[in-house]
Amino acid sequence: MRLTRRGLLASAGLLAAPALPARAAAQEENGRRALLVVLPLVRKDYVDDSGTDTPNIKELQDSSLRFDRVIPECMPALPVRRTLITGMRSFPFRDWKRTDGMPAVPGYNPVWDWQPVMTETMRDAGVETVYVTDNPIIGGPRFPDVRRTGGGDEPTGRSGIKDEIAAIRRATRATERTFSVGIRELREFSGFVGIDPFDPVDAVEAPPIYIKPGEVEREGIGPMHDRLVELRFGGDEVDELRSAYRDHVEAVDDWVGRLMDEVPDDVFVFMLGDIGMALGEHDYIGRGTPTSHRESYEIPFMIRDPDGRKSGDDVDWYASTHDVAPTILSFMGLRIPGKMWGEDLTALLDDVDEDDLFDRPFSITASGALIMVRDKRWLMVADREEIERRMYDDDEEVEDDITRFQDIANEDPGQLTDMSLAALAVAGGTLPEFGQAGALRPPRERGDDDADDDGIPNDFDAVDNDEPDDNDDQEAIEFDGRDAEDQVPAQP
Amino acid sequence: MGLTRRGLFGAGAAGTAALGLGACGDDYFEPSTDHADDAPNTLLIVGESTRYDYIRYFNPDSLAKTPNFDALGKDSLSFSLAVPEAMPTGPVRRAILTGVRSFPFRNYVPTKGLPVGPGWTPIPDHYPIITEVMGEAGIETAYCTDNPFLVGPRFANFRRTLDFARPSYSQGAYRFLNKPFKRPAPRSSIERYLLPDLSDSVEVGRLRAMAGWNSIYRDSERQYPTARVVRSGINLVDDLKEKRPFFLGVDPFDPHEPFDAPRVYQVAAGSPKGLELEGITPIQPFETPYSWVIDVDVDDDTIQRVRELYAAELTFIDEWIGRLMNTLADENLLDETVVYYMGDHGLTLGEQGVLGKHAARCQWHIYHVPCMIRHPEGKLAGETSDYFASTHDIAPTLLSFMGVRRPGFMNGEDLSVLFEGGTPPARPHFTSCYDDHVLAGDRDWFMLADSEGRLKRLYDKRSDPTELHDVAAAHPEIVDQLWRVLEDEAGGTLPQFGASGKKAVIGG
Repeated sequence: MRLTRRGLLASAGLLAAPALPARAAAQEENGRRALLVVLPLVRKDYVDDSGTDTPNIKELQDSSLRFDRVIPECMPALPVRRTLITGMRSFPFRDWKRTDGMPAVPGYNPVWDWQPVMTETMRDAGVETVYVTDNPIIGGPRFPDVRRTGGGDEPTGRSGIKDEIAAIRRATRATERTFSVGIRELREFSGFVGIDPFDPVDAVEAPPIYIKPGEVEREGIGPMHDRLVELRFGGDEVDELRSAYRDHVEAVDDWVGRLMDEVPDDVFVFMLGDIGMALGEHDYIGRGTPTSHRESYEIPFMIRDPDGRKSGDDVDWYASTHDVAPTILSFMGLRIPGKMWGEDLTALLDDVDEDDLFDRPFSITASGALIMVRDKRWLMVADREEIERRMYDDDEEVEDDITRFQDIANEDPGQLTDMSLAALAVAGGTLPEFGQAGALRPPRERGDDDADDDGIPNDFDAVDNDEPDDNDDQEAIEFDGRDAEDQVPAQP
Repeated sequence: MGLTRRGLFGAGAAGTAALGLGACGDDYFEPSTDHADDAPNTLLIVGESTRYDYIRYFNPDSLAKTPNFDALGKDSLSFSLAVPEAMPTGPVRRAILTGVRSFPFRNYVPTKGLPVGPGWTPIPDHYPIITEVMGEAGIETAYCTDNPFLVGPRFANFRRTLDFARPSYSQGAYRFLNKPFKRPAPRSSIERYLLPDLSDSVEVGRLRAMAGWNSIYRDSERQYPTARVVRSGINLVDDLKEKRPFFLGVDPFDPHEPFDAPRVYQVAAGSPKGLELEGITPIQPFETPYSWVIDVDVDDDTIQRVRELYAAELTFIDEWIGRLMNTLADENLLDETVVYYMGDHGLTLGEQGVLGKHAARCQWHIYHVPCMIRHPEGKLAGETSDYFASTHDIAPTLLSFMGVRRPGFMNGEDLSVLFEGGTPPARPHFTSCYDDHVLAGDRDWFMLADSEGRLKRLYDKRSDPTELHDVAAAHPEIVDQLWRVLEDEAGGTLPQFGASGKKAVIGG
């Protein structure tokens, strides 16, 4: 029997602790343990069906609260790691500044000093943390808990399917290394363990987007920051790619099995993919592509509660990668820093209905200067300025795949506007512009900024205001009814 | 057994029928989330245009007598440097009600029914609203205010979330909603309030409307706008005491100009001097939002009298807030109610050569506001925190006190952690904005700049607490550092406003 809180109250008449806010929970639930597992490059549809053999992930899914419509909050692999660890949205990469050793693509920058870090918050509260990853941005003085696996490959550049297959194999090797170290760490851990396989090449090389020649003109997609590779590819190459990818997913699943054998039952498990990948569907290949194929974006996303709450349930709410940090902190009974923007998904475990969660009408994500907005039915892909916008109707009622290929932006401008505005709203009001070295700010429309041309802008200049004969010397500005020492503010 | 709302409804306890809500008994009213069983009530008092240094608890030399705020301060944890995250009135209310930062006004578009200027936007549709979140958790919510923006059409989405909305139409254009409406007073009746230099300004119309309204709606102290608001708060306590836990917001629009406290308070605050000796009581000494002192041509004595009139109005408010607190005490609610008091911004009363609120002179008179939290069990009574508490912290903190899960979209910090001996996440700088100006600082430095960064002014608060001497040229590294803090806090770039800040955001 599933033990829900409501069930407890009704049956036993006990007054169970109410659904809770971190505060009370912190006192009574000390010693809660949590595990975060990232499955690199795993697409949700390859776990669910498509002939891939993934018994271990499926088994965990069956005992977890599963989220069916998750796409990462941003793409590709490096920026999404920043989201995971900070709980802040990286979308729309307004904080991008070109960083040495990283590709000049929006989103590729370190974790900034001013961002909260999930594991730091845990350690401040006395929780032991270990984070296993080869990701270079998760490192430095704020990450004393990072364990490296001691492996990694050199970047070679990518220009074709062969290279892409090699990149998939690198992800498999990163999984092997990271999971095996993670399993060792897990045996002696008492607080939080993160197992986050990351191919270090992904930090120095932005993944290319392979597209057939002529498609760019036809589809009109925005700036890609040199990620675009025009390539003719045929069925055989796609088959080879998919088969390599299937091998990767099966290898990941195998390691999930080995890991879960070691995970005690009283551990909270948060398992999710990082990004998906287009495998030749709708003429795209690559990671974080502006494809019209929505399965290319979707990642597995599940929470296993040690008490089995909501086990086997599935939820359609548009959860995403920035919800991970707040959820884990809340489960551990810690306060969530205000700067984290994700929602606390433990609400669902506490019997809050998904319809009563904070309203999130769309999944909104970014890859470089491109943005994608999606809900159950519609998918919009746009450039940063929302000048070129494509919209696809993913109506599940329609079996015909053709409607999902067709750009119908001109046919439903109302829907297009709704989705564009949703992206603007999440971005705070504007989407950033990107220059070569970072996000830009457009120049001001200058006008009467300095009416008397004395070098002091009007806003500061008493003379420039309404009375041209004003006296604007320092004495006049500082004129005050009292002597200066009388107006010293109170110093408590 | 603690009685949760859900428990009550489920059991069909006799008392619930009287609630009206409970009588319906259908799913529609069932709370969708939960609050703590022992949740305290919360009372939020917002002080419009209240300067930190005019509360006597913080500054013993204050011109205003504020015995009730002082008593509240002695019972409370107060904050030595609380700075609203964005100013003035409109953005502050938005941050208080949503828990989401308004800074840096990236979503500004001119909105009919609100003043023109960055920050003046309604609560966007997708934002959380504290009273909505509380209502969903089964908490009774009430708010009384005469703030002309909160009672206006642009904040209807907020008012709809309330169980008890008590708008009071005492201000501005909303006075005509009172019956019988009377036309503005004749010019002759306002000559005694009008500075000679404002005799053909927009203030003439404002004062005529105010005087006309007052002549029939304000025959005793009880009828002054603040008294009306606080009285409806006192009446609400009567309704709410049976419906615990409850949230009550009391948000009077004073001591906003004009500084027209009842005569008895004006007399108590000081004697006529300056222009008043010539028969002019300077209750509206500037053209809203500000005038340069040299433009309105007032002497030192008149400025002193303006300060006394401001102090008189603050004393009047103090008196009424005291009555509200006494009501809580009489109903034995004080030991189960969190009281959160915060000012929204101050104003300049002659310092810096300015009367009123000038964005380019948004210095300590304006950004340094009073803030105190009274814990029902008297925890941290009389203590002071130097955390840079701000307006967007109010919603997360109140929700946390009541044990309600806060939406992650709220980005304020939960200050209730202080009462358990914890510390909120570090906030090494305060950052704020006012119109198209931005400000940042810490305990040592304060920087004020236009959002374009054309003129950045830096003040060394250690040697120059009144912020008179710009030392930006001598400390470029501090200027750069504070500018970076502002950009980081804004997510990477500051937004760019259209010409003169009067148009919508054009990018950034």
